[in-house]
Amino acid sequence: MPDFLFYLFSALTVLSAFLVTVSRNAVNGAMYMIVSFVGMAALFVLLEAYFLAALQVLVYAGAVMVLFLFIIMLLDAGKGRTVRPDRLTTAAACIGGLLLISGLIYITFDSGAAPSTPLPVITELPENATATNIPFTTSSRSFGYGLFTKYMLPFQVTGFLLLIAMIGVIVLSKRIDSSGDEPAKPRIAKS
Amino acid sequence: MELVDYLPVMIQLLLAAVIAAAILIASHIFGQRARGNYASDSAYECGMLEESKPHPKFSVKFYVVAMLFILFDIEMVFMIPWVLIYRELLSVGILSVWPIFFFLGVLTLGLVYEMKKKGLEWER
Amino acid sequence: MNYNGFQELAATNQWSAIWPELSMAGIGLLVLCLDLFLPSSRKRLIPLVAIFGQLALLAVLVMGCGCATESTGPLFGGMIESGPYTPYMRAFFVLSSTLVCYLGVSYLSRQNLPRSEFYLLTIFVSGAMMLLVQSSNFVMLFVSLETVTIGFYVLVSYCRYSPFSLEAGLKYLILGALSSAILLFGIVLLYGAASNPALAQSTTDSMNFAALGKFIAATPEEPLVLVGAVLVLCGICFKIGAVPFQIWVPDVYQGAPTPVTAFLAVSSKAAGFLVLMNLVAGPFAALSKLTVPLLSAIAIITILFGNITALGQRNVKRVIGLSGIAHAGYLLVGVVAMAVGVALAPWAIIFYLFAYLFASFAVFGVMVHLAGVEDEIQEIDHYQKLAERQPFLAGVLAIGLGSLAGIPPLAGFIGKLLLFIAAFQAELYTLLGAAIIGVVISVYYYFGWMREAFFIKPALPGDEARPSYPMPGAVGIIHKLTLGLLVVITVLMGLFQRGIFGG
Repeated sequence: MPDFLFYLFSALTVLSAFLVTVSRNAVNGAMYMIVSFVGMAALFVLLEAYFLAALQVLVYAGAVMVLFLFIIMLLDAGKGRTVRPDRLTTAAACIGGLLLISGLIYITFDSGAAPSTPLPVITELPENATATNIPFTTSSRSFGYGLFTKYMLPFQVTGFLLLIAMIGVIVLSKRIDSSGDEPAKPRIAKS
Repeated sequence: MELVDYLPVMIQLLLAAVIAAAILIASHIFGQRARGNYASDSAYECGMLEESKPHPKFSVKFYVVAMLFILFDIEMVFMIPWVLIYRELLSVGILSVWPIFFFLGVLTLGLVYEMKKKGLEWER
Repeated sequence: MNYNGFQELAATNQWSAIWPELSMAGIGLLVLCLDLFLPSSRKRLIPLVAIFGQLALLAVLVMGCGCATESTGPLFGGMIESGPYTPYMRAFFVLSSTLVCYLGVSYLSRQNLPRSEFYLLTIFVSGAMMLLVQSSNFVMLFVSLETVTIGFYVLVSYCRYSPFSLEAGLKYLILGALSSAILLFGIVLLYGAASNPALAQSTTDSMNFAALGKFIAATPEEPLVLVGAVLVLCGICFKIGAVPFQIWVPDVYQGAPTPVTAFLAVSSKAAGFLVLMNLVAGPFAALSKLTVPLLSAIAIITILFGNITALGQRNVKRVIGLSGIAHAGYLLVGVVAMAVGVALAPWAIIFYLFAYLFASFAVFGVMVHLAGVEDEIQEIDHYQKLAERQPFLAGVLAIGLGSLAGIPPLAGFIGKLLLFIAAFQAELYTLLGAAIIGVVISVYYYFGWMREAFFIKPALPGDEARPSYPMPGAVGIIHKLTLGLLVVITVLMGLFQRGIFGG
């Protein structure tokens, strides 16, 4: 049964991801993207990464897609002219992508690099979790152990990453005068 | 938590798909078909003519709010694992309270910045 | 449950070991607080705090450079590991960030843009770069790389009234996101292969460079590893602007505000190279059969492409961008020599980076002073008769460009020489040939720029119709001192380089 579900959801994910790229209407594309994200969340569930699945729905299918839809509406997409890419570019991109995919599939399945034995499912942290060896378990708590011991520095850097992003949002979207009080006059761009 | 616990979710998904399909098929079979014309396709069949295009451009304000929402959403993501384990870490003397306070402090500073620059005010 | 492992891990979180990075973060937060709580009449203090704070940090770092630094080993659970060149690179990034803030002051005085955000973004990004070049774990590498990149997205499109700047920001965003995706895909492949229990030396900590290096040394022929390594290298090559991943460079360099262009050209490139060096000497050391030919090919095309395309450019920011591609090519020669195993190569790269920093900031200092409100449109023609009107700036420009071109006795010449010696020791004669051809070509466009400044063209009929470019006023004493210092260091580094890095 899990095997069947895996194929079902991965087919759903790949198919809707493909539809994102070919759909003419940007809103339809965004909707397909939600389906793709939810399919991916289902794949995480099948991998017993429940926390990741919840985050996938919460952050990607929820917040990121809201932003996408806002931007699509903001830009009033679909009314502009469509630019057809160069035939040669399209052909080259298709051939390159196909080569990469087939190469990767061959490597993954034929060369023995992919694990052939099923990996054990760990539900709770083992007693002997050492400094270099924190396995990811199915419980959400295992993320916490890693985050506040081993990954403390990246975690704090992420805080600054978010701060930079917040400042960037304001700097790029609000009119701030150099003195910070009056709305600034836009510079007239010369043609 | 086991994979089996997600069975209700699976059933709900199937149910949603079945109901949606059923409604579509039923309305296709039983519904009366009318010839489409301009008046019946418009948003308000009788009354005023529409003044502008049905998809107005949204102001950049929406975008700013959505963007800031994502940032705080991600901040929350980091707090979930902390809430689950901070008591255990506290009991064995691993620092986790001050670091998350620092993390939150940095982001609070960002929030203060936004308010000060009137980033959260609707009228601008 | 047994918490010993976690207690061990928590004990390696020695925050005192990364005090320079913490001070950078502190200066940034201080600038942010001052911006928030200072009355607007006192806001002029903010750039002073940013610049002098960093100068103080720089002074402490430079004094520390002389002392013997014992390697502390992996810290933060193997997230970062300081190597022999970490102190120099810390000083490098702080210096570069200070100079960018300094150039920012005179750029922002002409634009109606938010001020203090520029300084704090620059400072945060530089702090993240300092962590990036020390990271010894892919998680740390990616998080700090993204901090740097997102900061750059904002900085590149900082002049939001200018269509050029916004276009540059958009292009940088799309291609930067693409390169991050490629890098991540490579990391994922490596991670997956290295934690496969069926393979020799598999590890549960496969994001860690040391563990990954052991695994790759045991299974260097594994195709998944090779694909992963190639993708990771491609992602990094995007960041340093090596051909065929250079398409973003000219447009972004032109559209970005000039101080940000300098920041991109110097710091971002240096950070990319340090990461490349860490990877090539660390986890990918066993893959030299792959990395040497791959990077050699990229280096040759990069050198030739950058120099040949720079020949026809009239916009000085595009010239700097395209010649920056060529400089990335020369530096890649050093990286290849390092992959072959020449001990001189990493020091040659670092010397080159420092020479590049001083020369570039001298040139950018002149550019910022001469630029009008429309920062993106700086043609070579603007430099006409510069020597007549502002001889000091012309002199600075000449020495800066001369050092970039590699004219003896300037620092750039010694830098190129060291790289070429490293390439010679590694017996990379083809690369050496390409690099020398590139240097010869580069002399043409650097001197074309200089000729515009120094030699008066004979007046052609119709010249009166052409607009004459107004020269900005006299150079302030502080600007003179800063540029003078950069030039003096460039000359001194060319004359006395013995013993700078302890041999």
